[in-house]
Amino acid sequence: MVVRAWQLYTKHLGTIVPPRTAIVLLVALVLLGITTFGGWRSATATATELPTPSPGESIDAAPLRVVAHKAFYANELGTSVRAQPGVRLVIVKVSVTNISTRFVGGYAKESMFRIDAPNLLKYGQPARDANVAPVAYRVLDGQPAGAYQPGVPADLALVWEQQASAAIPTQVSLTVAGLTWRRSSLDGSYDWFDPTASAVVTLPVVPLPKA
Amino acid sequence: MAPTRLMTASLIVSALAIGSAITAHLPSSDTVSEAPFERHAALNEQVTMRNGQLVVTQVEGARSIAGDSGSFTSQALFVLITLRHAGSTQPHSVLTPYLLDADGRRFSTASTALGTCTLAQPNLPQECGVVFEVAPDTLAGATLQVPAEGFTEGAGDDLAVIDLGITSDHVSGWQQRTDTLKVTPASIVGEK
Repeated sequence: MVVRAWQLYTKHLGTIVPPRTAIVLLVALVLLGITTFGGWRSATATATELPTPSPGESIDAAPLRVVAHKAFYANELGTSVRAQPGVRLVIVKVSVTNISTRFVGGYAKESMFRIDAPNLLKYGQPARDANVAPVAYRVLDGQPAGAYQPGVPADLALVWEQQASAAIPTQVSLTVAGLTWRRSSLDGSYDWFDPTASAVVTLPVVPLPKA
Repeated sequence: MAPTRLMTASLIVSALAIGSAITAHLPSSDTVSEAPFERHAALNEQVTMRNGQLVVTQVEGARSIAGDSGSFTSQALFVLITLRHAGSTQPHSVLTPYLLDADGRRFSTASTALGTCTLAQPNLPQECGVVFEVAPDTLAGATLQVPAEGFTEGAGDDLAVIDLGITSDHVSGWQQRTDTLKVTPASIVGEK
């Protein structure tokens, strides 16, 4: 078929479009087509469905094992967290255990949980996307949670701020991401990187019961 | 194939195999350059690092602990380590201490708000507390690890490794305590 096409080209177009120009045009057309249809990545990407465990089911998202329990909305949580005027708190209660041999702290810790609620606030300002980290509080004592320590179970309240003018969500999908322990390509130090979604739990959102 | 050629080929293959095996067992340049210079000590023994001295004077544990930032209660266990440290010629900090348990699990300090160690000036030892929230099951035999500087975990630098002397009896006793530990406030404890 290629030989036949070449014969037709030389017979009809060879004198108008020189072979070298024709080859360059052909390559350009192929690249344009690949770009139009999403590039090489779309050809190699495989659609992966994330597990969707029910509330209360254990999720392995190494380095954590997570159980998502319930979701609430409120204006305050305990005595130490109070929403500013015009702000609502969206709260997801989870139990986490670090099943690795190293603590998980800093930015890595914040990158492991996301929800899909609209109009979330980031540092008090409307967030441009859903990539908003919660602030985690310890259920037992109401203190801000530190790093997740190996083998230490912790019941946490993950708190997001949402504009109060937005509709109260009837449910939220909590995405739990796992992390990879590796050397940083920037400074060579080791840390937890590359949050990768491991599971999505959908939770009904109800008013937070008064303590 | 002539016997001499066969022998030569066998020798070359054997030499390559032996060389490969030796290389696999030698440390890489990375592991050599990143290995810390460990300075070992026990409870109440001073450890000297290139930039200061440090001695752990007390180790306690309980499920509850209180500091300036409030009270904390653990689903596992808090360990409060009281230490004294001082700089040699410059101010000295205990910025990123770690606790390594018997299983090799690495713990960071429980909350930056709970620790009281700040800069200790040369020849003016500071007494202060660092707090870890730990899993009690493998706590016996744990060591405190204090890098000479920052967030390096002691890579290529001095690393104080202090045997905290924790036994399983200590751990079970701490698990049964119902009182609340008080974090050691920072204080200057006199000239070295």
